Amino acid sequence: MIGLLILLSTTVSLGFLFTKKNTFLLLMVIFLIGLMLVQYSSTKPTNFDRGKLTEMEKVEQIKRMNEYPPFAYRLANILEARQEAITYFKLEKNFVSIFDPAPIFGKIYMFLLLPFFLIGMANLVRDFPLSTTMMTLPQMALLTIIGHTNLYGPICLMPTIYTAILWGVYVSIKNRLTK
Amino acid sequence: MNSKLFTLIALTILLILAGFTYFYKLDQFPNGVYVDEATVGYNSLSILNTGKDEYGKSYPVAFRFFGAYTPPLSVYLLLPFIKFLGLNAISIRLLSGIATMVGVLVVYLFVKNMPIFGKYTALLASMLFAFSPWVLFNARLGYEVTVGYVLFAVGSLLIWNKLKTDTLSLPGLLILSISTYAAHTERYLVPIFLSVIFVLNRKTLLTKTKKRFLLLTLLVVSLTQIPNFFLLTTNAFWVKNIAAENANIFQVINDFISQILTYYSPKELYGISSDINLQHTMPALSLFYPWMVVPYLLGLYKLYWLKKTPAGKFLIVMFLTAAIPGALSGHFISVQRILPIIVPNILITVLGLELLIKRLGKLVFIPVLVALIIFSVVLLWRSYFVFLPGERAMWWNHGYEEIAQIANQNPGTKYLVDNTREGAIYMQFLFHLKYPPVNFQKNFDEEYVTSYYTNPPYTGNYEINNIQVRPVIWEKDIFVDQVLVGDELLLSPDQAKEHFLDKVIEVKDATGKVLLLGYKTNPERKIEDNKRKLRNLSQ
Repeated sequence: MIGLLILLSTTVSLGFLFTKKNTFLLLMVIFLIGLMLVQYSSTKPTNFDRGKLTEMEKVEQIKRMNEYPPFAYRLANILEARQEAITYFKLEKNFVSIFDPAPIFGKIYMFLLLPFFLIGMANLVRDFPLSTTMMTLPQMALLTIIGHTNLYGPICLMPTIYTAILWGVYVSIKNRLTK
Repeated sequence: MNSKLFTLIALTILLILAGFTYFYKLDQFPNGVYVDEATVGYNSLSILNTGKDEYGKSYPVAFRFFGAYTPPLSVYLLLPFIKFLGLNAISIRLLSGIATMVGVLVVYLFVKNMPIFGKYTALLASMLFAFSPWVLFNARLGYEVTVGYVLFAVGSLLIWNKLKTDTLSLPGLLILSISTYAAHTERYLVPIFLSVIFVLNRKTLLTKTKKRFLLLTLLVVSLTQIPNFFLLTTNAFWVKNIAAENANIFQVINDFISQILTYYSPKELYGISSDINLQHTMPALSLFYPWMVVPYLLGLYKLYWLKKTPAGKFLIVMFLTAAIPGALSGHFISVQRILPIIVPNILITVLGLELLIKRLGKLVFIPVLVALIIFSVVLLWRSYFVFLPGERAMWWNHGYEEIAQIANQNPGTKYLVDNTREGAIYMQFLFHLKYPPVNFQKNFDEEYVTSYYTNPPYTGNYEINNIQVRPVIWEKDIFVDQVLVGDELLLSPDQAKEHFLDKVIEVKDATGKVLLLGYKTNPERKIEDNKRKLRNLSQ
């Protein structure tokens, strides 16, 4: 079912890019919402509650608070124990972890497609800024909030990645032919 | 105030602040002398005093150390520091800080001289470089990698400045050539980088009028490479190139892909590093500040559209070649092998910041940037000056200085230091005791020195004054009157009880974790106990 959703999302995304018809855009949004729901339901969400830290997190928190010099005890409390700080550092970690090409492009055949992904992404951002934002930002926001403890990986971003690769191939061929 | 004067004052203030950050309590942060630093420092002392390295080799063109055959420049550049300041943590670390200050200027000049950048971002670029966690970290350590990447950046800058007029810069080529004697990475990176630059600019560089100049330049540069040409014929040149030893081409390609993706991964650079050697990173902070990932990605986007401009092309080559030697050099991720990526990375981030300034407007951008800078400085202080001394003390070999001092104060006591987990730990005692190099060189005969570049057998077992460094042999060593020194894995309380050992040394880090222990043996009691056990068995 996940594979089918990714395939359908990619197809309608490409349909929109080629035809610019809003029907495809609407379908793309529907399929992407579906994928985001699957992503959410199959992920163990990040725990932000400072009252429910794991044992390891608690040990590290206490150890680090004790490492601060005495004059900085207030800062230690703000940076290590405040709910806002705990939430911020976890969100930051989840956000940066989205940008990891190794699991997706690690195989030889996928690595060969990486240049097309980059070309496609650059062209999409320039030529379709709004729909590219729609194809990426909500998924990135979701992954930043729920985290990456998931069996399937960042599935809600896969249609964007495949669309960018295919768009990159298309742009490259088009540029070659028009030369 | 005219803009030149303002720039000069701002740059001076920036350099003073950077210098303060790089040199502040240099002997306490990191709070240990890592074995690689001790090795570079001690070999420099050895050259200074005897003209030979620790093995007795006269003025080597690659230092054997523990079998790494490290390019020699740093050892030689340290000579004046050791001559005037003595052998200590400060003298061996100063060079990296000074090199990084040069790097601050190089970044400034790159932005000033590349037309793809705006007019007012050069200072911002220098500031981002100067206070990036990765830059600060490497500015405060005492081995060759920092000098290597800064020299590469200086050479690249000179090459770029001259390339604008369609010629190659002789000083630039010479500095790049010299950088191959600074660190392993540059030894492989420089030929890759120059080849790509040459291929991309071949039409302009190979015009009839310039051919003669080019040939002359290459000849001069080749002369500076004679030591490397000599090394090419020996085992010493190839020790760090694991890929060259691997016969399975698919494995090599797979390793290369996996490593190159990791090295360029924003997650690696702005989030969690995959480098398992915790001596290479600081706790709770990535190589660059996490917020920089946004301008970095925007910068990559902008760079893509600048790919056909000469400056864009040059920056892409700098960026894409920087991690190739690292990706070819081993199975493990080591962020210290890709330091040349720092400068192009900062430049790309600045491209992204310029895009943000344009979109957000200065009124929004400047307060946000100021807030981010303040927050970043707090995070840097927290990670480097608060967490690092406690959490990474073991990784920086904290504690061996204390052991060396204790042994030095008790010349009548024998110490046996276990080196099972840290084979090269003997260097800590040579360094901290400033052991006369001429005495240490007596461990190696003439034949060993003659076969220096063929990688002769290595051992980390030595006797230095009253300290013996080798693995503990439990069947024998508990029957000798001495102090056994090792970590908690070697010397557990159960073993101490079983062998009647008395704890006489305990070295802890700032968090209270025990790093090293020293137990005095009790041979008489142990022999007596063994006899009693034998009697019990025979009854």
